[in-house]
Amino acid sequence: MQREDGRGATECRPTFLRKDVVSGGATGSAYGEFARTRVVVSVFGPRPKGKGDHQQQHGPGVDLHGMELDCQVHLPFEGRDAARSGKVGASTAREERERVLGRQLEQSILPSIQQDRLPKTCLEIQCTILESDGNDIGAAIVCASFALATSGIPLYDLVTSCTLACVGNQLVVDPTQAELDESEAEMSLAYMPSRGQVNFVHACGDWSEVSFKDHMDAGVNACKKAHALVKKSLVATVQTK
Amino acid sequence: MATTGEDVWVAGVRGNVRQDGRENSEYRRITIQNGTIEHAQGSALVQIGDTKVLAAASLEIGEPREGRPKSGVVRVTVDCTLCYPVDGTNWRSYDRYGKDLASQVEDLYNGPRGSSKGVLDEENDLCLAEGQSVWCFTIDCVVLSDDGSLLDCLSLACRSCLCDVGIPKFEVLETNEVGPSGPEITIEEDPNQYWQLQCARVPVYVSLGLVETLWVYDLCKNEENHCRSRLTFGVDASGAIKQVVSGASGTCVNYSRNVANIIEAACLAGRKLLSSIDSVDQGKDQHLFHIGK
Repeated sequence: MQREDGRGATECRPTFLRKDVVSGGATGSAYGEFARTRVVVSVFGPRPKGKGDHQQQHGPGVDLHGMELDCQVHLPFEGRDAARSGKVGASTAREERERVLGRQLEQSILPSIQQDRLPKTCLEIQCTILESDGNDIGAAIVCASFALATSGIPLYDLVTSCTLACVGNQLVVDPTQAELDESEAEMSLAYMPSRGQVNFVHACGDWSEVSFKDHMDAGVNACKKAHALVKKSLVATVQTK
Repeated sequence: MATTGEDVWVAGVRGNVRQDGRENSEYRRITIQNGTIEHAQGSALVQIGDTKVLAAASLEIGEPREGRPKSGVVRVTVDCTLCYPVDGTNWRSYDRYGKDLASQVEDLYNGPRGSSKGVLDEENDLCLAEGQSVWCFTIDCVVLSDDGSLLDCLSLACRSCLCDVGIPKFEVLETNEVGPSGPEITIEEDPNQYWQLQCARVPVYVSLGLVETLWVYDLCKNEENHCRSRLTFGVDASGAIKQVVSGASGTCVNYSRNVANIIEAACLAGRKLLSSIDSVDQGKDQHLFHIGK
């Protein structure tokens, strides 16, 4: 079955990454474009942790001496039409989506940072999704990881992420929004190749044990390929400077 | 090098013994009581060890979600302010934690965005008038105490509630005029004519803690603090995987050839757990689960 934009089932959309796009105060920033999904990420910090700093975690187990990561995702252009036409739930749905994306972004990025080299500090990542055409979490994760790498924060590895969807009976990698709207199952995962770790996985659909394993394998392979590409972009940006 | 709590726990898991004497594959005692709240259409009090959740479900007719004109809707709210010491500064983060849990449980029952089939109703039984009226469940959960496995407990409570609600039969009146809220629907009032959702299709969360190549079921709170790697699977009684969520932030899973075993373990746990729960009579409500390796 041919996909609308002519890609193969396991082909990702072309990636464009550029660093230092935000001026004034940010330690690092990056702009990522994955066909029509466009993301800007800026990194602030590491700042010393003050007493009044907002605590993400709750209850026991809060590490007062460790590093704290605060991820915020903004979707400025989504749902505006619905809000204007007076639908009550639209803005809360957008806020909820922003919170969910922020949580997923933090979950994916935190394991890649060398936290013991940044004790008692607070790192802030602000991500703005300018346009979303499917796989917005994947784009945010890759762009955030790229921004962190270009801003000199000590990292274990780059984190890459991809989304898979089952459209009809076929598994497609990096689906567009149109493909996601018709998919029976979708899965997003973030992977760090040097440690062989899956930092984040979120899957929703209907699988048997075997098919789930196959889909995860396909996702991890796509992440590995994406990792090679992002690494090449990173090296290219350093060389041109 | 000092021995940390985590080292002690990992050593225990390697030797198949945990803090409270359980084996890796043993659940704590699970107790489910239905009908605890008299005026709710469905209610359940579920306890897994010391984790207690009270859930109440109500049913009404409402509009379907966008893009899913034939599926029923499930809305979940979770209040976890009772189980944590709220000293005036942290209530916001507990509030947020409650909302996050609620959205995860909702996702389990509402299924993927693009799917045409609902998770609860594959034949669209919950649809009254396509695109206009469907049955909407609202489940309110209160966490009375949290000793780990909170997502498991919440999903079990919601499942018990959902299966307890009696759904009335309905008739769509055939008239030429269609009102603004859709065609008129009459609801059958006879309680003997109520039907219930099929338990087997309603999924439940099973959380696994991962240590090296081993996995551990049903982590208590202390263990959750030590365990770096957690995966939560949403499985139904036939072992089909509906949802997978990775654990709290900072945890990650070593992706190795072991993953197939982990997936199999989660499905096995789901199947055994749900078949034990579903096959027990209404009177008895105490179970002790031990799931084989």
